[in-house]
Amino acid sequence: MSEIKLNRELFTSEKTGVTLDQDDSGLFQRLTLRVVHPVTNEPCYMEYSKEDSKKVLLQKEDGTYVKEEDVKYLKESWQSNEYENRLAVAWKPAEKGVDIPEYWYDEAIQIIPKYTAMWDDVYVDKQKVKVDYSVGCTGTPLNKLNNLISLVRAKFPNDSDFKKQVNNIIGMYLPDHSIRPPYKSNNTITVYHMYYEIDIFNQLLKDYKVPNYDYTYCFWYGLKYDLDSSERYFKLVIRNSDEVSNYQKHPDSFIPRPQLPVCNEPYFAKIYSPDGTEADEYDVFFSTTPEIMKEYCKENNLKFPIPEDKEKEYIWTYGIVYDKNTLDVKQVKGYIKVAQDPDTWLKWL
Amino acid sequence: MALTSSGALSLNEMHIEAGGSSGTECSLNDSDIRGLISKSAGASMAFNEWYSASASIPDFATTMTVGHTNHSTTIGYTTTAQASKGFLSTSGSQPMFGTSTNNIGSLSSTSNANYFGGNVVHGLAMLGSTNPTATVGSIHLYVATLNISNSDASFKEVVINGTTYTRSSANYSSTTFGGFAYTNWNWQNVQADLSNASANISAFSTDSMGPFPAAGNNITITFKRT
Repeated sequence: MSEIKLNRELFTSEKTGVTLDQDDSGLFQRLTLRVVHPVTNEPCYMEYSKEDSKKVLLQKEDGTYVKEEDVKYLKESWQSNEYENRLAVAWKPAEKGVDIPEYWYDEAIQIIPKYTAMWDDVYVDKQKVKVDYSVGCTGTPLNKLNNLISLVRAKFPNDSDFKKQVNNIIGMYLPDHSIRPPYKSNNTITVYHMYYEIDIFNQLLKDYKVPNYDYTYCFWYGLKYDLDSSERYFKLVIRNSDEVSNYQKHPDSFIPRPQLPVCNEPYFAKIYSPDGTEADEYDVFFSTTPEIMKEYCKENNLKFPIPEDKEKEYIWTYGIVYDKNTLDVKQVKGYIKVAQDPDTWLKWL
Repeated sequence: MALTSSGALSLNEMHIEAGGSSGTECSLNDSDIRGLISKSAGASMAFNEWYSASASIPDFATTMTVGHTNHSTTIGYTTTAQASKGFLSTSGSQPMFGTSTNNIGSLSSTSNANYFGGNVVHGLAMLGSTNPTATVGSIHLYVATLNISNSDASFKEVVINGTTYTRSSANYSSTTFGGFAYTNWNWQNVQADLSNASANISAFSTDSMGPFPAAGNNITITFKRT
């Protein structure tokens, strides 16, 4: 990328600039820039500290420069972080032992969704491919959810507790779309158990012969019911940690991943077959702004998942399905949270 | 900091000493620059009269009763937990925490005509992550007006319970968020325990965080311009 020659700019200017300041050591330069909030579109003017400015400013004979890529990173980091902060408005503090089991509350999971009557519309290549209903839905969505439960029970009579937690999620792929690997059939129903009982989870780890990597698991897991093959897959969701991301220290548990856009801390998912086979495909999930994600997709020749008319919706996460050996991306997913009652939903724009 | 006692002296240095922004327009006859050497308008003046001149703005000292809060943030299904310690008033805390609007602590005086253009300090607090654990956090200073000058005319340094943080080492920003217009200075990578680099940010109100002692203690906050 190129370098930008910097001049002194007004705080109303869209240009990146430099300004003079002074401390006891004498005059110094601050990098200045203006960014636009990804949700409110309010401008924010910034001046970086003496130390941070020194790291990125390049002094040349004819003036002061900065690398364009450094400016891009600084702006995107701020925008991604602000977008993440705005996503938080969909949640509220939970009551220990009432909304959230004490175990999870003590693990610092202390927030629940503001509303329980919601669903996720999942998009791939601008097409809706899946709908994930929360158990707290009512009316028609609840009927659809109950129908999905009936289909699972018919094939897996020993499984139960689908509605044990009001935030549990049950969803199904829509027909006429290519299913993501390793799943083979669109006739697959997803059940996510939220704020699960740890004993049940530990038993699943044993049943699916999951190796112990000292991962920190998230407060939900998925069971994927293939109604055609009558196979049940176990989807483990793993928080980012040293064990996950530090290859030098933890080569066995390290989770390889493709390069990601500027985003919040990602988390990962692995899928296990009933015989204990780990799927070749991993998932990585993260949040960032639609603009950053679109550019990332363009740069990496991937398909941005969200339709143009949905880009201002509550896109709470993106998911990338990739091959763990080659890191080839198989699918890019975008999740939009939709409230059953739009009047109660987020006024986040 | 007083002006030099000998050698070259620029008009810009005089302006900064008087509290002006570096590089901005000024003249020797401006009241703030004349004020450094107690001259009236139109009086005859020589450059050497400004040697060792000092603005001598009195400090702005205020007493903080330290407050504390914990809060979680969930994005998608990822929850993190933070703690904050110091003083935050409602509108000042919103841009810092997103969903949390807890007021914490108090300041005996929140404004001074010689500092921040006389605008109100809405927050001075340290924020740090408790889950995942972190050994450093950041100190945020909020003043409730847009585009307050990032110069010594606002403040040069702030002493929090005996520890000095200079303006030059702070990042600066100004924006409007949720209808609240503010200017922010923030200091990054502040140790959870100033004397132990490996200590984690604590979620307990009874523990200290950076320069802030346990909640309930009274400490002195001193803003300085010279």
